[in-house]
Amino acid sequence: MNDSLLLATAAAGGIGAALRYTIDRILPPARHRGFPVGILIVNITGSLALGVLSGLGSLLSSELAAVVGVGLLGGYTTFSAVHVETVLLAKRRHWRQALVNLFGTVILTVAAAAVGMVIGLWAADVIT
Amino acid sequence: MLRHIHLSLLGLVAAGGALGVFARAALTGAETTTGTVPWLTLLINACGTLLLGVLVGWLGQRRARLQAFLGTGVLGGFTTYSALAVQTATWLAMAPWTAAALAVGSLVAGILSAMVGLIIGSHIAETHSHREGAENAQ
Repeated sequence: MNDSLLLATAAAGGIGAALRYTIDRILPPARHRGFPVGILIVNITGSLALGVLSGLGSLLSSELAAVVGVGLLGGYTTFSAVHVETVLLAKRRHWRQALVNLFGTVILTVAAAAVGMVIGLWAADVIT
Repeated sequence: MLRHIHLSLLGLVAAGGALGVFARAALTGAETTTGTVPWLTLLINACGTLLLGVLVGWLGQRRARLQAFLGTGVLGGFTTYSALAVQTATWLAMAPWTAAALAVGSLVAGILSAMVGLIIGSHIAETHSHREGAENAQ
């Protein structure tokens, strides 16, 4: 990655992180019995979008794919919060919420990514 | 709804997120190749989770600005779920067992790093409060 692409990717990452924070504040865990529903929605929608991006493939320039895929969506979705929250839920003995958060995130994000890839491939097929 | 968003914290999250993504992109490059095991992403995610565990275990509910910048921003942006989800979905179509191993390996790495990080963080918090207690006693 050259310097200007790296900087554009980082800037897009800042926007992605700000979007994640906004959604997490609008859907706070406190109002959902401590369940981090905002982060779950962020990770599902981000995985869906990256699936579409990867389905579109070479239709997008590699620069745009890096800025949106690695930057915006990479900064938007997060791994660290999911697992720290899961352990904190387990420590408070909210076992069911901990398990739903851990396994729900992986199952729903992979499903969303697969749906996104199908949409992207279909769109690429229609466009070309 | 928007009253819940603190603009100064939002700015700190964005700045931290840009730094975190910068670090990850500098390590991984623009690499979006599918069909390989994303070891580097797994490693980045585990390290970022460990550090977030330390931060949260240490500070708890304190220092909202520092946590917004370092936790939600830098470490939230450094780690990622979307790349992992797409990689796993790709493997699911080619080799389901590899996809399952990738998903389970990533969960185990995430949980272990979070636990270790939280333990280290609470030790730091304890040492700090002991030291402050000793200083106050003098």
